[in-house]
Amino acid sequence: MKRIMVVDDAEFMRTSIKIMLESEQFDVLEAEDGNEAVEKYKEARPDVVTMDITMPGKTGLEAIKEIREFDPNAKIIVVTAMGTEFMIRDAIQLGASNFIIKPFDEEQLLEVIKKLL
Amino acid sequence: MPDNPKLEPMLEMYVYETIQLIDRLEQLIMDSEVSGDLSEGMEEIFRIMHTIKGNSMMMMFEGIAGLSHITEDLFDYLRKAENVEPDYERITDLVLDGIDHIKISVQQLEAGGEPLGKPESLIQEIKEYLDSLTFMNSDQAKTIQKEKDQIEQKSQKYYIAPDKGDEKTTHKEPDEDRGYEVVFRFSAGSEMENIRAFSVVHGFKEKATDILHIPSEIVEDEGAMEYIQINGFQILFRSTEKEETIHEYFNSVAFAENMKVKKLSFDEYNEAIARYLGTDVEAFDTVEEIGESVIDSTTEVQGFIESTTEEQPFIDSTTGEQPIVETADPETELTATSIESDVVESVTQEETEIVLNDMPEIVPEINDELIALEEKAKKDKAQREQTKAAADKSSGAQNYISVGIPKVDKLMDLVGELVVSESMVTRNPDLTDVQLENFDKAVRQHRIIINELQDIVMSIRMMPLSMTFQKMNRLVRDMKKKVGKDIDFELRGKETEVDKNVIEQIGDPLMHIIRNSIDHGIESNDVRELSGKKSRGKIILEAKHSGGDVWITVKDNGKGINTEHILNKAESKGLLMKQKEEYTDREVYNFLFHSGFSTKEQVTEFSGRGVGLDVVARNVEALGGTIIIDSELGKGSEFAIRIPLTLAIIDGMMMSVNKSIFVLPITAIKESFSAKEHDVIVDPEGHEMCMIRGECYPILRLHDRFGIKTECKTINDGILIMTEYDGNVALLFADAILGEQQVVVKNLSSFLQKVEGISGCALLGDGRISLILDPAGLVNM
Repeated sequence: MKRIMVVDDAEFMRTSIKIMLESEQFDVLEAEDGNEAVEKYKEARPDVVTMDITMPGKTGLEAIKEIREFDPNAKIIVVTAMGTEFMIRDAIQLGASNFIIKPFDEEQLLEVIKKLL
Repeated sequence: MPDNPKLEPMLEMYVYETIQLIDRLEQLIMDSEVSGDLSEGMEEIFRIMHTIKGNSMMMMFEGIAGLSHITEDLFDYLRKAENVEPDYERITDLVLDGIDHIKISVQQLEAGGEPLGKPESLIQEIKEYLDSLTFMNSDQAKTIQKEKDQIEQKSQKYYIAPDKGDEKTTHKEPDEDRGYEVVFRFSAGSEMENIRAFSVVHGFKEKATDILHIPSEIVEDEGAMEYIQINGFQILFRSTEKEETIHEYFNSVAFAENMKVKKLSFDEYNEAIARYLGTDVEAFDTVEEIGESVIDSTTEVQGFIESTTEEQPFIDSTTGEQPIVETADPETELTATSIESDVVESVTQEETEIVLNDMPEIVPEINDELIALEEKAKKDKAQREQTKAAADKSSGAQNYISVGIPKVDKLMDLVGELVVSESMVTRNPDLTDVQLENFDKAVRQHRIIINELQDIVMSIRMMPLSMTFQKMNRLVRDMKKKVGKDIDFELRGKETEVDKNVIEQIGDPLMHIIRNSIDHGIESNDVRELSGKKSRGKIILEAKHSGGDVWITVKDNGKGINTEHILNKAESKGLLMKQKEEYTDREVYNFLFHSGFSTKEQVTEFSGRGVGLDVVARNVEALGGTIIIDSELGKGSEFAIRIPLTLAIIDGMMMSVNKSIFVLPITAIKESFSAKEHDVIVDPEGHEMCMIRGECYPILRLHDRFGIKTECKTINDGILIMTEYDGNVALLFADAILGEQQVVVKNLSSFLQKVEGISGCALLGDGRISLILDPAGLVNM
């Protein structure tokens, strides 16, 4: 069973994504901020990470950078809102594999993940 | 309701999270209005609106999403712009209006309905205010935007370079090095197609060289997005990777459609280059030549970079010197397509090599400087955010685990039963005559642990009153404006914690009392001045723990309660039981709790709408509490609500009436005894009474009161229990007393009517159910 780590500071978003993923037999783990994301990545080595890049504190971008430094093959999907083109560009340069824009539906999320696996 | 059925279980969480965020937002905005300083709360307010926007979009609640979006924009501007004088009152009003809209929507959602429609006029108002700010600071806004663009442009410029660095080192066999063209579209609705294209190219960098694409500007150029939507995206490159690897990569591109990957022959590749570069086609014989011509064109690019960087001073953010970009001719943008062949100077192989040798150093150097600047900006921002997060931790935004209420209730039930069963073990009749020293020690230790467990579990349901008090704050603020009285409102003890149940029930009674105070209690500013008081009236709302109770008091320095008016009104309603003079002040105030007793003739918007103090009293009683009024005419009034903290378990005395068992709180019992027939007197109205030590007390037959058939009807066969409450005494007549027992109090279900004299029920150790007698109700019968 593939494992996916969902990183977002809003519990609502984490849970909506989790619900979408669990119905497809993914094992889901959650992280609330960039620091937790990096730690949990090192411990649990998920197959894919969804990362909100508008979190406060250690930004999602930094977390992407650190995770990719730790594991150059890490597969990270950026989750963000419209109007953040430059951040997405930065994220991709830091190693993110793809991105989805809020609001997204289950199909879009699964498409992106399946293409990565 | 959201169309996506998967999102319905999310509704509860959405409601919960939104309510939390909105409460916090309200707190922040009102604090900032009072302190006249938005800078502290701005970041958090921005984030809150951002989160609500995201969540609402997922749930497809357009109204809330649109409203939070424009508010987010406003605060985004406020937090970034300098020299802006925010109009605090206007901003607070706008935000509070927004909060109200969201609150109502959420309430409707909670009740199973739909959220409100889009608040067009409010959104328009916020937009207009934001526009007015940006207009006044248009220069600054332009500069911010310009700087943003410049940074992006610069890093975009150097993007091509790394590819060229690779070019030098690859040295493969000719037949493995092939040209390819890839053409595809993105599926409709995938959004930001230009950035998607960027990520496709970026992800492929390591596998290919000389990557060219149409359109060539994809990140900065917003037109690129539309172009790609209409025409698709084209990539031309060289690669030594296996064909299957290349196919695999492009097949893994998400949202891609009509993907075509074509391996090119030399001629085809030539042609293609011309197309992509816009240069004339020259015939090439070998791939290397093709490669060289590509190097040539891109060398020009690098030469151009070099020349511009050498001539212009590098950007110095502290002195604000013009960045390089400003002097570059926009026409000669550094992209492959716009290089004109006639601009190109012929470059010798040697020069090419020199440039290529130096390139790796120069470009990265500049790149490094640029990155360093960006890092610094990011660090500053991150540091600000970190201190914000730290501050948040200690203020309203704390870490919680959310646990379902049923689980907590179950936990409380079990702990309650544990306490009861503990006492059943330790007070077991089997042990009465036995001396067990070690056992006693163990029992004491056991008791201590269980008590601690009970305390902690009770505290799980305890929450601070701060949110409730915040609501009051809001109420006073709104009411002050509407009734035109200037009032000082002080909150004390808002961290005081009470059971969640209390929090839910205490809000309405408190609001009513405070409304009363503002409406009837505090005089208008003029009247106050005339009578020599400070023109601003004051209301203090205070909460504190005392003994095992919570005291919540509302004190004002208004005109006080006029006992004469009340007595007169009571008289006209026929409520007087004795002479007016015989009533104590306390008793007079109690009249206010009678239903329909409002001495104010008009029904104002805020009070006197039939939600009288009687309802307040009932709500307080339902919590097991009491409410006391105190007042001094001309000076002010005080409403004090006392709520016991530990409701769940009481020490009770069990008594039987035929097969039914009743439990009476031990604290209400004065004494019990069996009476002789002749001690019982019957008064002229047929009430039974008993004379004890010179005083006459009424007898209340429990079997009569509760309609239970029993054999035991004569007084000397049964037992009399002297019960007292608030100075009144009654003698309860039951069949027999069964003994002391700790019981867990459970409320009667709501569909059972409230019975006067019964305050709940309890589960006994042997599984039987007993009713708990309410002394207050009984002694007043």
